[in-house]
Amino acid sequence: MSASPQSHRLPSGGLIDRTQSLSFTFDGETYEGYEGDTLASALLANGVDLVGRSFKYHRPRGLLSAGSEEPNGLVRLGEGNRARPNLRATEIPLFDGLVARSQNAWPKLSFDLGALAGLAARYLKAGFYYKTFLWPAGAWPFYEKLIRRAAGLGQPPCGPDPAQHEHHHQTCELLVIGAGRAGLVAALEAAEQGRRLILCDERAELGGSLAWTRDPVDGLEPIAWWDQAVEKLEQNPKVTLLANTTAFSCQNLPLVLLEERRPGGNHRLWIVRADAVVLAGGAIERPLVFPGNDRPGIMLASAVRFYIRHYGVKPGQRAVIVTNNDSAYEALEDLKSADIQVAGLIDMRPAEAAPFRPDGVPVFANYEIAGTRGRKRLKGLTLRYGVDGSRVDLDCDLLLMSGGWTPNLQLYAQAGGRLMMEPQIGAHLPHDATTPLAVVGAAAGKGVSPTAAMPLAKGPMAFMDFQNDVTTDDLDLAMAEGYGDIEHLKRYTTTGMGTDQGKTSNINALSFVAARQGRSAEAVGHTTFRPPFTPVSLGAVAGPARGRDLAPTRRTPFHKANEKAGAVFVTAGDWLYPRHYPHNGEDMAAAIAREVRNTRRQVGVVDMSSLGKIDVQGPDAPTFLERVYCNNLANLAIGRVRYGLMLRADGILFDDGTVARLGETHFLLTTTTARAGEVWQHLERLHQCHWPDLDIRLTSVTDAWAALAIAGPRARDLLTALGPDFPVDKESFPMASVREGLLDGLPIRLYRVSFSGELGYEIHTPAGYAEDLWEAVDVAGAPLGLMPYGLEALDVMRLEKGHISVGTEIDGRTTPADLGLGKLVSRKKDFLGRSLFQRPYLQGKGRLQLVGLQPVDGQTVLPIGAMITAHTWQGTTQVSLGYLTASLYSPSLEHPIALALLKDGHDRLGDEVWAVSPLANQSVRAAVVSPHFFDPGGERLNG
Amino acid sequence: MGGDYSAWRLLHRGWGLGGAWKPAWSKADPKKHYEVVIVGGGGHGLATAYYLAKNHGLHDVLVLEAGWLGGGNTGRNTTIIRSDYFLEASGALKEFALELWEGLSQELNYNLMVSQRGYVDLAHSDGELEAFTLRANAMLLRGSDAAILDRQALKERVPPLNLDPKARFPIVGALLQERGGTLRHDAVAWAYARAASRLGVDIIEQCPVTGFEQSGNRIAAVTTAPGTIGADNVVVSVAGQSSQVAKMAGFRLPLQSIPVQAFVSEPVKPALDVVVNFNAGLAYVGQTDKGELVMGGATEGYPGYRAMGGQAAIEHTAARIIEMFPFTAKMRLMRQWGGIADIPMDGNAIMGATPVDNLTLNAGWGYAGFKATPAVGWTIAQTVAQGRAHPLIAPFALDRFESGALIDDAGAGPAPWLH
Amino acid sequence: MIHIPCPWCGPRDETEFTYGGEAGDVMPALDGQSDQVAWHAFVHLSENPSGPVSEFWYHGGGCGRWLLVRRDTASYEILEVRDAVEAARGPKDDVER
Repeated sequence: MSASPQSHRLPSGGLIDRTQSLSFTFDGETYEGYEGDTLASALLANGVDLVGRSFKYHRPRGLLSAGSEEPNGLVRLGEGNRARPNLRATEIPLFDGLVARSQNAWPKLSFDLGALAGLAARYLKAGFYYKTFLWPAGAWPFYEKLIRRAAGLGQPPCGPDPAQHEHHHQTCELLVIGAGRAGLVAALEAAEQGRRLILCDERAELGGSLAWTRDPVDGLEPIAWWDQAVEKLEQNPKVTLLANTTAFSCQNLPLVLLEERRPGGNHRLWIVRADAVVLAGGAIERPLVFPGNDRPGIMLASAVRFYIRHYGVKPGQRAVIVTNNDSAYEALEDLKSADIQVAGLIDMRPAEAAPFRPDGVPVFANYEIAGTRGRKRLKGLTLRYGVDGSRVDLDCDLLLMSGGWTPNLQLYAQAGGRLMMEPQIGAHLPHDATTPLAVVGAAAGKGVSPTAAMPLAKGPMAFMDFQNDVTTDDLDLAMAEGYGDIEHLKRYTTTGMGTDQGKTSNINALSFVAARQGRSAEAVGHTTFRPPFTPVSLGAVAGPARGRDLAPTRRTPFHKANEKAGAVFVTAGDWLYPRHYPHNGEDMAAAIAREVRNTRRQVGVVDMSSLGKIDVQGPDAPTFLERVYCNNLANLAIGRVRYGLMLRADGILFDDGTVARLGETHFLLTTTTARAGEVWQHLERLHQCHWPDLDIRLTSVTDAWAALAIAGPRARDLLTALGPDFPVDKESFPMASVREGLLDGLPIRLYRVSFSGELGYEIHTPAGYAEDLWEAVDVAGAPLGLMPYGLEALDVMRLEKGHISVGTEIDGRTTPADLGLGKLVSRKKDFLGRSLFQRPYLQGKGRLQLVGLQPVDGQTVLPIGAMITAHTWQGTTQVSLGYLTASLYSPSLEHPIALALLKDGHDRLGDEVWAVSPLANQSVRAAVVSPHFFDPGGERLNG
Repeated sequence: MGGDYSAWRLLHRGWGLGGAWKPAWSKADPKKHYEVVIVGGGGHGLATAYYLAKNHGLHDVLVLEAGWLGGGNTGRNTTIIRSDYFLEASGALKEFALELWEGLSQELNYNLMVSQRGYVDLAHSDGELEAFTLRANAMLLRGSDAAILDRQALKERVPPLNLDPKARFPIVGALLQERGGTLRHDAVAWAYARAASRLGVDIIEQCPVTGFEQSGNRIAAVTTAPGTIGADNVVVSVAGQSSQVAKMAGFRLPLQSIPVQAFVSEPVKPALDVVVNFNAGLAYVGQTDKGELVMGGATEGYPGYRAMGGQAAIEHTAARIIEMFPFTAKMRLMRQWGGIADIPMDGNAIMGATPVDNLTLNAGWGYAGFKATPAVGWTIAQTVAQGRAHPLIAPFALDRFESGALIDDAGAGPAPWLH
Repeated sequence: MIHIPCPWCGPRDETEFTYGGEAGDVMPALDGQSDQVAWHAFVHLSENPSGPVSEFWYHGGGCGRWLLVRRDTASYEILEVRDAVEAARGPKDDVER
């Protein structure tokens, strides 16, 4: 066959628009097609037979089908960043300028060296790779490289995705899947009842088999009826019609997922919640399994009819039909209309089964195909007579095969519907066509041709699964080796595991296995139908959550002020947080050291807004807090604030923060930033689920209040300069005080607390006043040497103080006692976590306990992430005594310090250990000291 | 039976010489009594049977499988092997497993396609990288392998990785375990079944255990549809059904069963030579030898026994995979599935003695079970054969929840859905 | 994907909710007795059935209430949803295990 312009286009007919000529290329050759074509029909119209190479043996392959079941016609669509692999030519609507390439062939499709694998096919049967590549030991990585290169289908795409994908959430009263005749009827009925519905179909045009069947509908020609039906639906405002839209998952009914393929590779994922779902997915014709059943030119009978009637394409010159059912006889008229000579009709059934005796066509009843000829295109067949085994040769370039019809029930099965094997049609039907979704039309078996049982094929290269090159020999071998369970067979031979999801192969494989094992198909069972129905774009699944929008970002009320102050931001959990505020030319380390020094010597300001803040009110608030904190709060006076430790129910430290008493029955809690959400849920849960009788109200006020801390020897000067409407001298407002008032006219809550270890205050103001507060602090602080400091400086200062932090010391494994806070744990009251905190292992020897470490040489910074050992690292395995949780050079102390969790560390103060980093091949001798390095007496804090 | 697997025999038999391939494992008729009955014919149960026979000369062993061999989590995971755990007990056991994986294809005479192509765990902040550094040091100290990659090294090791510093979760570095990788998961069950069968272990499929006959504080026999089978020792290794089987034996377990989803793309030519894990919201991806990208994420977040999951988890995982490897947006998801992970109250497995004297439990592997398979088989076999816990699994005892000797790698506490 | 009919907000997608564990054993009282066995059972042991079970869910994306949800872990059917406070205050028999 030559590839002259549309050499295989019929002079008339089809539903294509012959006035709209479209130019496209395939493997670099330019062709023309028409509006309404698919890439597949346009290729056939141009006489292109060879469209791909198979997975394992690189056999030349042509189109088998005209729909989403296509196993062979996989192409790479588009170029550069837009290129996408493995798309089915039968599903690609043709457009002007389309560029497609074949796959899995080297150096080219018509001459593929990979086909050498076919010569070795006798060694490459199912599971061959499990039995070899074992020698020499250790050589597998070498073999693996070769195998990986030979496997795979298309080239992977490259670069980012220029397309835009969106998610569309929709409800409807009825979702109809499949817009063939049955789907249209269901939609029309519902539309007449005024129901809000969605009708979707995976093809570019609605209509399904109406495009190529001949039976009149309501007295009308199928196509005339179809036009009328679609028009009616289009005019109904309550009806949404979606073409190019595949319903791919029904496993979470009433949620159904649809992928709408839009021009330019832009996809829309429809997440539809439907009151009712009708599945009208039709049926797929099955191939027949015989030796050499995979040559280009061998197609499903219905596909040939589809190409002729829908696309006006003539897929061959001289055809043979082979069938085990009546439906293929209908193709005779279509072949005749396309002026395709019919060299014979092979009916594998006994002669009396034929529905009629076709005129002028030799009929071979009770014959089967023993072999085929033709390397890149079918040239002829050998038939074998079922009675005496005599053989007949037929020349042909087109074979229409029909092995019966398989109702499309994947979505029904996904939804939990039970399947039962119907021997009449040799395929599954719904056990109950009304639950869990309504199945109608051919999907429910309506009008599906009864089918004779398939004879067992023999001989090499009788393909069961075209895409994965699984033959009947492979299945036989797998069964002989004991992989007889249908799931084992699938996994051992890979049948049905290709990108076509086994649409044309699964039932054939099942029937074959049942016959070979002498069991019923019911007894053999079937593999699980998993989503998606057809492969779905990963980009569409992910949707618009990309780049910065991958997850929400929280900004503090001081964000703009921080920007103005020159903050470098860092993403910490949900938050975008000032990391440091570099001055001109400073690197991060220099900026951090300056910020620390300035805070310790003068005064600094830090954004604390991300701390969790919870308002607790009600007569039972004191009782509630006594239960949820492990330290004593009973004697907390109004106007005072206390450090609080919260345990999990299992006695492990959960969070730390502050508890402030604003009134008799009014408390304010702060939590760590990291655990804010969890603590909130935890408290709400305790109240609502376990202690509903406590009369309290919890309110999360994290976002309602902006918070900053000022810290340093001049913090009180700064506070005074800000003009509070209440006295803030040492006596009037001592350490651990809290009160409400005005500052520079702004409503505030003032806490005297400190994380940095300096004289410090936390100022909270309603979020709307945040910028005014920052501005006021900035102005008042300028003469006092105020500088903002960020997350890093704060971390340095807390470490110098030996304050614990979530993620490092509060790690979900430590208890307050482990962290040196055992004295805070009340022995007088009961509280959440107390009981299990007393478990022997949490109280016993061998716990990892918080200590400070200092290098014995006074100058070497202990390696980051070091383990603690008794000996230096010599490259051999050692027992770990613990590990460092933080290590740095202290700008305030001017020597290195570290925090560590050390086995029985509290008993080891004064000992020396090794901080070792095998990664850095470094061992540093360190002395075990108190973790409170800086101002251990707290004089600065209390100053 | 069947003969050894080799290229030579493959060639030979390709020409129809020297007989035909025999069943990989034989279908046994149950005897009345066994020294050891193993409930659960997944990778763990079959490995236990193999090592009982191989290491301890116990051949009077029966494996009972309710469905088909390897049909549970052995056949539903993302095939990753690695030992990059921080806590000693947790890391040591997986390191032992990794050492066994390294020679297992030869030992079992079955190509498991063990591909130590490297496992890369991405850090999204300096703090996280510091934690990874600590983890790497812990691994090296116990004799495993580990490396820390900075952004430049990462660019070289994983060229298609998106290292945009302005990303929502910027990548600052990574922990690399070169000996980590993937293998052919189904083959693990088949290979152990074949090897165990060759050593005389009986294997029965499609035979659910319906109850235990107890006498005193012991199990005298297991009951099944075909009949009652006596047992001196019973090993329960039934991921996804642990609570149900424990209930038959009369006790509750500190774990919950939570689905985890995974999915594969259509196959493409080699695109990714390592397995990469995104930590901000968990999503991991590798490529099979067949060319499919295998992707997985966190659990569904609540218990269930449907081996499938919701759309939200898939969206979440897919978005993160694309964030790592933008080209994947143009690939297609071909198949999704779920497994049921039994996740204990500290996130780590439960192995060894139970309230019933002769019942040894192997449960609660969460989604770490596959990688531990050979080590679990080895240590549980020794535990049963010698009557005391193998040192590597002693820390995983059931009574640790009462004593407080927890092994909580994630630090997430008694909330299995958070592990 | 589960749809939970919140008694306050109406039917909502599972993504609005957070699972909060089995509502099995009743939390032991904080009465100073510190019954470790009871606390161990409450914190650690779970029925984990394949079938109906009562669990706590938090409607963080909606009303902010904790709900007592009776759900079938095999079919994922939601059998009953009540506000946790109402459920806890109601007659003891109503708090199903």
